Amino acid sequence: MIEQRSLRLLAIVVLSAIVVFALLVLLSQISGSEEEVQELLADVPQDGTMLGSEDAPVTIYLYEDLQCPACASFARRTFPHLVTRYVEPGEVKVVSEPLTIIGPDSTPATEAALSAGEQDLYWEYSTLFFLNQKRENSGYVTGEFLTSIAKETQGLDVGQWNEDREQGSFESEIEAAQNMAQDDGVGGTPTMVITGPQGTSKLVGAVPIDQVAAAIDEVEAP
Amino acid sequence: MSERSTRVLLAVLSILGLLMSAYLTWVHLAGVAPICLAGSGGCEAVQTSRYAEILGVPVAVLGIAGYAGLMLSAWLKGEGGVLLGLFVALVSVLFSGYLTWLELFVIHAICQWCVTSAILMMASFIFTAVRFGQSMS
Repeated sequence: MIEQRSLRLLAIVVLSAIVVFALLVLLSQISGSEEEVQELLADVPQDGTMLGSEDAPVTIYLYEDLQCPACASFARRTFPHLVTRYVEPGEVKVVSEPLTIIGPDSTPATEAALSAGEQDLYWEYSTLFFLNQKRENSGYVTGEFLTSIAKETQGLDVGQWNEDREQGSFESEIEAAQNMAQDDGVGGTPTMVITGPQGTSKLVGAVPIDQVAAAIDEVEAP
Repeated sequence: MSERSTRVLLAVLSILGLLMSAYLTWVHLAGVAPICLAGSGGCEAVQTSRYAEILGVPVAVLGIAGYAGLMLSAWLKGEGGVLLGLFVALVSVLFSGYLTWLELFVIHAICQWCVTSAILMMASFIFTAVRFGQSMS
């Protein structure tokens, strides 16, 4: 009798544990999903690596490497707030300055994002890349991996993207970003150089939105 | 092994797990790289991946909740403590298995802290199962 009761309790515990586990897995799969990225950027104007209105009074030059884990953290935790609070209302525009400092995998990753930028979808592509980022320089940045990101990027003509990626020469853009980084004294990624009517401010690392907001306040018109 | 010894061992594992989860939560919230042997690349890749949070809650915070639940179960005497421990340990061991699968096959990086936590959870599960057996006999 006691044994039967214990077995019944055991069954309840096991079933409840499986249900909670399944729920956790489901929530883990849906949070920070591709759909959220597409939704976030859907109504924001883009031109190449620039996100936001060209007339925005404040510009953030974002130095990043697609392989950089801290950049991925910034893209997931701070970037969505930056877009909804400042870029969408037209107060700030963000210009990505992609660097290839982490290793050989950074170059094809950057070229793939810049190819998406030819269709003004750089930000969707780079943000999706960050969401799917793996260990740096582990050789994961293959043609297959880059194409899988391209297929996830809504509105991207994958055939055209592939053509641009294979034929396009992005050396000058990458070199220009590298030179700008040297001029701005960038020592690591992510680094933000924030310029506005009141001057320039610099932030280093995957800083929270409050720090970015304070830096924007500092440089924008009084 | 007496039931008391099982509970003490469970409490010790819970304290270790709590300390580790608290450290990983701080690392996550401070946005710094965790200290790992042979470089922090794997740990950082896992900690900054999209799977490091569930609906904005760091997974390490779930770890704190899990180990706190195990500690409570070790403190509670009788059937309530046995069943709570078994439930928490089973959820935790299944979820640790899922996280390890993500590390190996999705993120392609191993975080030593996560592996250590998975081992602690597995050991806790064994002790909670032993305690359940002891309570039946």
